[in-house]
Amino acid sequence: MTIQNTWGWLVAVYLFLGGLGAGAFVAVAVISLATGERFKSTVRFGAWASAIAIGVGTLCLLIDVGKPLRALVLFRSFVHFGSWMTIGAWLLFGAILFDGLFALFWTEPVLQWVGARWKFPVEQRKAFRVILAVLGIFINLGVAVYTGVLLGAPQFRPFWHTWWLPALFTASALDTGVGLVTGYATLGERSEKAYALRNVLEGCIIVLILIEASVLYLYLSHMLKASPDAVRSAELLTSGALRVPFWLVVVGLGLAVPLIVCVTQLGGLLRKRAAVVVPLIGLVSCLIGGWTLRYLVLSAGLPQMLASPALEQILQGVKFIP
Amino acid sequence: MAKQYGFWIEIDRCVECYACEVACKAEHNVDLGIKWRRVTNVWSGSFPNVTFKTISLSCMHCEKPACEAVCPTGAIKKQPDTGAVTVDQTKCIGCHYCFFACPFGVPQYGKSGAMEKCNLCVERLAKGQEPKCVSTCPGNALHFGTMEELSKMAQEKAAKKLAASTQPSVIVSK
Repeated sequence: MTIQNTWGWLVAVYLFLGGLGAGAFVAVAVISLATGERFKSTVRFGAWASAIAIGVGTLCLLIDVGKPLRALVLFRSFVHFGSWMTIGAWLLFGAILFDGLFALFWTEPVLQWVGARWKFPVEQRKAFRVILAVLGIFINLGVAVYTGVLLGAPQFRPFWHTWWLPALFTASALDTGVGLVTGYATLGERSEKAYALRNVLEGCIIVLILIEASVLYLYLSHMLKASPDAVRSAELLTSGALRVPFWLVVVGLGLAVPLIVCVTQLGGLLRKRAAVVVPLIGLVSCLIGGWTLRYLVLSAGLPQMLASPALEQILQGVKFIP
Repeated sequence: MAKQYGFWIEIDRCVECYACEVACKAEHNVDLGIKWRRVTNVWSGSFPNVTFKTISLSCMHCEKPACEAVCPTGAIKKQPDTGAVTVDQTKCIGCHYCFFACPFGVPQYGKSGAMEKCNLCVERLAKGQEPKCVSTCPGNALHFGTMEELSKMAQEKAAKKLAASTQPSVIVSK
């Protein structure tokens, strides 16, 4: 069985890290807007993680193209704004900039260094943080949605050409991003009210996993009823060559395990003996599931078999895809 | 309306000699493994009534090229004077996005990393010559001209214009 491999694992890493970074930023930006400086170590962690994840993801994208150095010169190479890739490239640039700046504004030594050289009152610093958080949420949500729109734009890949795909990738982005922040809040946050933050985040993850699972179900059931080409792609995942990683890793590790972990954590089960191991398992399995979801959706993106009715009369079922 | 050049392929005149493919490779010095024009055998039927037809295809130079629409760099352009869809290799970043957009699997990527494909021999057109594949075809199976000319020429044959939403500039006949 053939699978799509022109865009391979590196592009999947980008789609995953772009979503992860975007989700983590949205999570910590909301935390910072809602609680101020109470959980500053979590916010700092999430901000740096999002900037690094989106940066590394973009690097993977650059390595994958045929002319990386040329692609690096953004203002010369990404000039055709009718293309979603152009919009995405500038969104990525904006996200790295905003997430990086936001991270710097939450890093004490940097603030001290700036404070020692220029007048930078605390009120101004707070205002900057709020502005960066609010604008950053929009840009990062844009990045999360864009990872799906990039694949969805080409018309002749029926498995990708649907709004369900950006919906799925956005849900997964928020799920993995909030998961990463929760992992830190559970294992690294030393603030007094850390347990409250953890509980709220775990509740969010449960909701996000349920949303992601529903979107995944609706996406696949929609595709299984669509054109024969879309069905071929969808069946690769549900019952074909990719069924084992799909059911075991995407559904099992990516959705079921984190859901069980969050429910047991919230329910107060296992809290003492497995305080470190269980959340860690939940986090790692959620991240593995997130990457595998991107990789499998990429692999299953088969081309539309194009045989125009007019031509079919002449060639009796000719297929033009090599 | 500006001119739209294209190809007419007469399948019953093709002897599967691959001269068009070779002429194209030699004319444009195309890398090993890359084919701007492809001769393909299309099999049909089932045993014992199996048959095949040979067809020579290149870029379809669509009237509404999907590759041009998705190209982030603007390297892919539809030329207004000939209707040729060309790629500026000094602008292309080799992102493969056009490969996913094209319904015919035309864009290919050589050693340079940039996309390459049939350019309708625009440099020969400028000198008033036909594309090299057409002038080389020994059986007159490949024809070149504006779509109006080709439609007229192909009228007597059971010819059909390739149909896709991108509106390919290719006519095929038995």
